[in-house]
This record gives sequence, structure tokens and C-alpha cells, in this order.
Amino acid sequence: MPSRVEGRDRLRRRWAPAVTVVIVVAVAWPITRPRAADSFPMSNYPMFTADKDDTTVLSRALGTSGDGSEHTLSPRLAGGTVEVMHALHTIERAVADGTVDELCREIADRVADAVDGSITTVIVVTERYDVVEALTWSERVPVSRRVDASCQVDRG
Amino acid sequence: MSLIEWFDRPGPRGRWPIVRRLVVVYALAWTALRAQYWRDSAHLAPTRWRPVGVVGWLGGPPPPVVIDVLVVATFVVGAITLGSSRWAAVAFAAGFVYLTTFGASWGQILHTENLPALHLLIVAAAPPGRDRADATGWPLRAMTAVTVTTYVMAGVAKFRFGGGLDWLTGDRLLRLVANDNVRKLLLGDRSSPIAPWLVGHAWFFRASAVITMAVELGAAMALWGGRLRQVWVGAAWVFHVGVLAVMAVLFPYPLSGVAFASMLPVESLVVRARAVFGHARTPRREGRRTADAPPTAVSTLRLREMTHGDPSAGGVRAARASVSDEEHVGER
Repeated sequence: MPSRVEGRDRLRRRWAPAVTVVIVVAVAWPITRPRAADSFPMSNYPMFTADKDDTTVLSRALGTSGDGSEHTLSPRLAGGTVEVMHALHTIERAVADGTVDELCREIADRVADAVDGSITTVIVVTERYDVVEALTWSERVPVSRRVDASCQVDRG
Repeated sequence: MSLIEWFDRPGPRGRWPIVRRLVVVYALAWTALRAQYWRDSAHLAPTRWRPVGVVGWLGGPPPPVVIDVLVVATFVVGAITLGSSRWAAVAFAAGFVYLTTFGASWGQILHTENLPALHLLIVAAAPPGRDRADATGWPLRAMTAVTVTTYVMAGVAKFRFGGGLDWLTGDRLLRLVANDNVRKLLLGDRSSPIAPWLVGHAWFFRASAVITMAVELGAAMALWGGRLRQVWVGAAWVFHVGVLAVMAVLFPYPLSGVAFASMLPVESLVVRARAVFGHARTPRREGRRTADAPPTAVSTLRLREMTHGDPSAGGVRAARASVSDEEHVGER
């Protein structure tokens, strides 16, 4: 009669290789999906594959004060979390799918709750920059700018 | 020797408990660091929900209180997992995978979390750490195989999605680095201080593209063990240092070394540390000491006699426990 340990060993010799093969195949399989179909934790690893232009377009949320000066809003105010890239993607997606006015209101509500009361207006802008100029010059001036949404900060 | 027998060979003595602990400690630390982001995400508007992976099967985003409870519960079971509990390991892996997938479901996937999540799944399926050495070879091999696969797939993706062989010219990489750094500067995020200078030197990006591909596709050599494996691990670590320097993109799991722990002689480090700090070996207690426990006091001569070989490669000398305090040999 095989001992309990021998029985466990036989079981392990059967399923351990199978589990490993399943996980490795599951990790490799997503490469067959399109680039846009990334997922987690099984990814198709699209990092560093995008074909970027010599200019870059990005959308961001700015706060304007009473004196007209503009301030880049923190990711927590702009996107609701501490992640900078998450905030960027949230804004870009809102611009793309036409919900930027709603996002502007969300951001304005967060700004209204913030300690700093100097910001009176939130604007969401889409700007185009020459990449090399913006990276190498100390003052970054966009080639073009479009205001996608504007909303007042209501601290009523 | 059959394929199954090859796969099921004993692991290096003492390595699995250490690797298991390293992965769990890393995941615990990551849970603590990311907790605020996950809790903040739970308060985002449902219109921002972009589910991926398993959370996509569960409908809309969960209420914030569910995430609050899950974060605490995951951390608690993670701490219990350090004590070799099998059920805690399963619960910790499930909680960690859910939370990281939840965090990736708001429009941005953080690829630094893929590998620790996959390794934790192996921890959940593997012995809890007190098993015999011959029962703990396969989780080390599984972790190594998964690590290698992720790097190779990242390399293949650059050919598949990155313009084929054109990716090796470095042009696409240069524009990517420049774009990424400009966006970070404009958004007030950390950017690379050397990127502005580097973008004026196209040769650097040509060389970087070739090196990147060599490291990613070359990960397969880590499966061979021995010197090839060490060379690849060193190259991969330096590669990530380069990514941090040029793009300010941090991959903490490989940079901490935990990503590669399954393929490195971490048990030797413990032995050497004990020798250096001169811990006296505690008397062996019959029936309590397991074959997987790393040796304690070892003379310098015996350290040099640690056999080298790896269960993942061929031609490995088997590990044998000795009755003497100082006769401990292990596999690498």
C-alpha cells in the first residue's frame, strides 16, 4: 500500500508540470492578440512599440487663477488618483469620447474641495508640441492649443 | 530520464523557502504602496471603468468599501503567508491578482505588476516552504520559466507591433523616449535628466535597440543555467537601470532582484551571511529539521565545496545532507 507521502509525490509529478505548462502558455498566448488588446496579468507587452511623431499631442487639465496665470493640476486633482499617467489617459479618453465637459466638472469639484483656493477656473486643453524643442528648451511653447472644456470652480 | 522526472528533480537545498519569502515580502510591500491608488480608484466615476482580465467577468466596479476591506484583508493574509500557510498563500495570491487587475481597469495597465502577480500564483500552487527539497524543485523552475517567457514575449512584441526589423534602427525608440519625457515634463512628473542630451545622439538609440532585443530574446539562455544564466540576469538588471535612467520608468521587481531570485543561488547568500556574522549553529533537533532548511555554520573551505548545478539544466549533482555540522552541500 503506497504511503501518503508516496501518493502525494505521484500526484505532484502529474500536476506540477501541467500547472507550469498552463501558466507559461497563458503568459505567451496574448502575443497572438492585437496590440490594442492588452490585458492583465496576461499581457501582449505593447510597451515601447508605438510609432510616435516628431510632435506630440497631449491633453491636460489646467487651473487658472484670478490673475490669469495657469497651473498644471496635480494627478490627484486631474485624474482622481496619484498616478500621473492614469490622469493623462483619463483626460485623453474623455476628449476622444466626447465626455470632456463631464470630466471638467468632476475635476472642478475636486479642486473646490482642495485646500488651495486660488484656482477659479478649470480648463482642459489639447496641445501639440515639437518634441525636440520642448525637451531641449527651457520654455515650452506649444505649436498649437485647443481648449476642449472650461468650467468654473464652485466653492459655494 | 523522462521529461516529468527531469522537471520534478530536487531543487537547490534551501532556495525555495527563501524565494517564496522574497516574493511574498515584495508583494506585501507593493500592496502597502499601491493601497492608496486602489482606494482612490474605487471613487472614480463608473464611466471611467475599463475592465481587464478577471474583473471584466464581474460586471461594474465594486463599491469603495469592498476595495477598502479587500486591501486590508489581502495584506493580513499576505503576512500570514510568510508563516508557510498554504491557504493564506492562495488567498493572498487571489487578493493581489484581483487588486492589481482592478487597478489596471481604469484605463492604464501598470506592466511592472504582471510578473509579481504571476509569481504569486505559483507560490499559491507550490509547497508552503517546509517541504522536502525534492518537492520544491518544480516551483523554482516554474517561476524561472514564467520570467523568461515574459521577457521573450516583450521582445517578440517589439517585432510584431513595433515595425518588424525597423525597430532595431532605434528611430522609433528615440521618438518614444523623447515623447515620453516631454509628456512627463509637461505634466509635472519625474522625467529623465539625461534624455534632453541623449535625443541629439541617434547612435545611442540604435545601440539601445539592439541591446534591448538581445536582453529580451536572450532571456531564453537563462533556462540553461550556470554561467549563461548569471550573464543574462546581470544584463537584464543593467537593462532596467538603463530604462530608469533614460525614461524614468521604474521596474522595481527586477531591480530589487526578486524577479530573478528563483534562478540565483540566494541560499548561498544566507549561508555566507551567517558565516560572516558568525552565528553559532543550533543543535539539530531530530524530526524538526527539514531537508529544505539552509545550512548554518559553514567553514570557508566548505563554502567553496558547494556544488554547482541547476535542476533546470542537465548534469546536476544531487544534493546530500551530511551528519556533520560543516558538511553541507547544495545545488546551484
